[in-house]
Amino acid sequence: MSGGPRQVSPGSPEWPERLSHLDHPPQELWVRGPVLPGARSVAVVGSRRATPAGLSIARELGGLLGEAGVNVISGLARGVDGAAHLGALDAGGPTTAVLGCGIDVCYPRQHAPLSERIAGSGCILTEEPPGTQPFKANFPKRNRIIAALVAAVVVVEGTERSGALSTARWAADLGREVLAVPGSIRSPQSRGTNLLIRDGARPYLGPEDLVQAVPGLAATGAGPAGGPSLAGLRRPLLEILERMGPTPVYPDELGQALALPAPLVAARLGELEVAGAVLSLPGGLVARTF
Amino acid sequence: MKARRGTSFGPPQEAVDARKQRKLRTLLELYRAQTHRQQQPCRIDVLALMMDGSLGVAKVEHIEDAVQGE
Amino acid sequence: MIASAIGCTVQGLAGVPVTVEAHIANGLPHFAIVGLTDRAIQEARERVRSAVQNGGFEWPQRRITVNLAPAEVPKEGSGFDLAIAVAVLRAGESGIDSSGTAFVAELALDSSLRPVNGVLPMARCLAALGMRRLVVASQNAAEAALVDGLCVLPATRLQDVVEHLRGLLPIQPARPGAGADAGPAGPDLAEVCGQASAKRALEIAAAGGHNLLLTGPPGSGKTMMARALPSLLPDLEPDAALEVSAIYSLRGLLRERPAMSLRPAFRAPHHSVSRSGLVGGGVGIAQPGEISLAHRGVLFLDELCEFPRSHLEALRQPLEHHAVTIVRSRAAVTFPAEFVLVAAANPCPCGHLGDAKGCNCDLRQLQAYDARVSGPIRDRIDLQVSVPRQRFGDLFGGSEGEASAVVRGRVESARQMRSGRLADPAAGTARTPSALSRSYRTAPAARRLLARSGERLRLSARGFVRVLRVARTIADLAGDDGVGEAAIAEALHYRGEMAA
Repeated sequence: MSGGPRQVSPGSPEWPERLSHLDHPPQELWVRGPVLPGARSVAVVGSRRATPAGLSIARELGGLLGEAGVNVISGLARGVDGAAHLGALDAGGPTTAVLGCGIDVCYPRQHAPLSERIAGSGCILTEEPPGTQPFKANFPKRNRIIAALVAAVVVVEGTERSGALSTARWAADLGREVLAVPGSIRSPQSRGTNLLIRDGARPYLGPEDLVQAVPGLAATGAGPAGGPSLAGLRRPLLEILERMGPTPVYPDELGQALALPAPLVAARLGELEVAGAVLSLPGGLVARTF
Repeated sequence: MKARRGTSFGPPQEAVDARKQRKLRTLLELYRAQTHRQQQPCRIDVLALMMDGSLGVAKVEHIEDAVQGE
Repeated sequence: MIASAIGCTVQGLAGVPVTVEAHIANGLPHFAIVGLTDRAIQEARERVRSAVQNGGFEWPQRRITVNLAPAEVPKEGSGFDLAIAVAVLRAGESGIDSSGTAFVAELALDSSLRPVNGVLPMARCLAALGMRRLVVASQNAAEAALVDGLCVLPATRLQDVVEHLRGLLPIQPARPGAGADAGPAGPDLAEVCGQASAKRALEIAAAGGHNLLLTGPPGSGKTMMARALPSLLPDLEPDAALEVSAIYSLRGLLRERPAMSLRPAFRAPHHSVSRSGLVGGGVGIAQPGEISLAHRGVLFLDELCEFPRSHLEALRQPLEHHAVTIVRSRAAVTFPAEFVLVAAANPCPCGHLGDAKGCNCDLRQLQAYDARVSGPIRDRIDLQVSVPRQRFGDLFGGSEGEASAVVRGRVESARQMRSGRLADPAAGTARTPSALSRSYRTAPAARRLLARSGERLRLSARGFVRVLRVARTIADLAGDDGVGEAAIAEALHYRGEMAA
């Protein structure tokens, strides 16, 4: 397993080079886990209260990066952070959680199993001394470390007051690439990312945008094109899919829009679910996954 | 022997309730002990007398062996 | 001086004839009732004596012993009063002929007869045993007269009963209760605007007897949809209707409802219902609960997650076995409970998921809520469908939907197809997904789709079986011999189990 936490100081061979880009780099780091992030690292951050589509995107992106061997860095929070870590772990890739509390403090508590998995293959790190509680003020400090460690930050979802936006600002100040997943202008969870795009962030529409922004990421040639594929879907299924966005809708709305009887809509949605193109959500709503 | 003038409280034999029956049995046993007649068979009968207005006996009902032992 | 009269009690839904023996012996006045009786029967001593005296008869001032046989059957309630009175009077007086006649009624102190619960199942049992006549309180006459081959004599006073038995003044037999009642009480499907998915799910539920979960924001019409379900179910067979009426009789609910209704019942207990009120039980001899009152009909649980978890756990056995067994210290009784469960819930804790108002819940809350909604009975729910709030435009401009009668026609032919298939012995025993799939004649393409769904949607084995059964019903509705890809895909969409 991970063993106990250890201290890493500037000057140690393990010390991440990029941290020196900060005006006030951490004095030292408490670390749990074998692998500290190297140059090929990307942060995937976003809202705690993400939408199902946002979680799905975060997990998928974590997986794609994990498959390509890119270290996925995030903040171990609920929502997007957790989903990104999980995607990377499931793909067998390294992932790094940067905490806003002491290395021995588990926050949020329901991510205890997740943090064990991360400490098993990647690492958990923090600049806070052991025993520090997750004070609100620690999180902006934590965000500057995430921003410093990576080549690029992808913000998946967030309101305009989301902490993910502070990570994006730190990243922009440090000259890192900032990407944001665009969303509906009606969705509060996409308000923050849409604002970032207006302010000059690159829209993230797919992994190719990331490779374009940071060519070094594709170094090992794992040009990720995985995920569910539209190829092979029959025309009637595409017709339904075209009517759907990441915002969940009721099947009845689709039926009305396409003038299709309910049994047919249900059958096509069932097939699309099996194909992985549509997600069935609590409350009987459906959403497109990509 | 139990007598009643009317039936508004029920017939006379009904007044021989469990308590009175217990008393009668105790009385019988005392009598047998004092007179050394334990071996002799004996029984308790109840005579229910209905009286008319002038306290004459209107009707007699004889219930043999009315109070049986434990 | 010994005489008897026939009474009756119930164990579960079965009547049990009881012989009431009365013995009058010499001795001081005494009145004892023996034979595994409850409090109400011990109190019968006072009621019966007063009723006999107030009826103008003489109460024997001697030692009276009444025995209720068979002694091992627990007996309860006031329904033996009349039989006890008749037995005692017969023991004291010849000329009262009670042969071939049974007696079930409570006596009031003034000698009038009062109705009791459970007369219908008792009448069924007595008729089956060859009793020719049954004397009941006139309020119970209509339900008792539903039973063929039994002459029901309604009486209002003890004197009338005795006069009849003496052959002096015969009681006119009650005529069989009025026929089936008029149409369904619930709304017609044509009155419901929009809601295409929910209507479709109701049709499938009606055809295959599948349990259904409706989710939707408050005021979207979940209750109305549920109330419309009985109108899609076919009429009950007379035998089945009699069985249902017998359950209502046990609860004493037949006096305010048509004695014999061919329409399936609709029961909607509130979530504050007690556990025994829901599944059956209660003090003394067990009473049928709401789930048995919904027998061969619809049980609607609105606000499913407001029901205590223990109540929902208690529903699992009846949902599996279509009957409920209530174990008591003195006896265990079984009531039938074969119903279609319709549950309704808000889509999320705030109730506005997918609504124009927008939902404030995050996914973790949603998942926790979802687990609470259907956790205990999740694997008993075959269909899950949303009932979105209707826009005003839909409410007024929407096209008229199909009438319930039209849908019921399809449901009836689908049910015929199913019963034809169930006659095949191989079909009845199939339990595993693959055996079911064979007996359902699942097309190869449909089987491939099902196999793919296993990986992608992480269906459990139970989940597979449910999807297959729903798909079979969909094919029945379409009149298809085999289960095609479209039927499987549609069933997958309605599955009550989400991909993790």
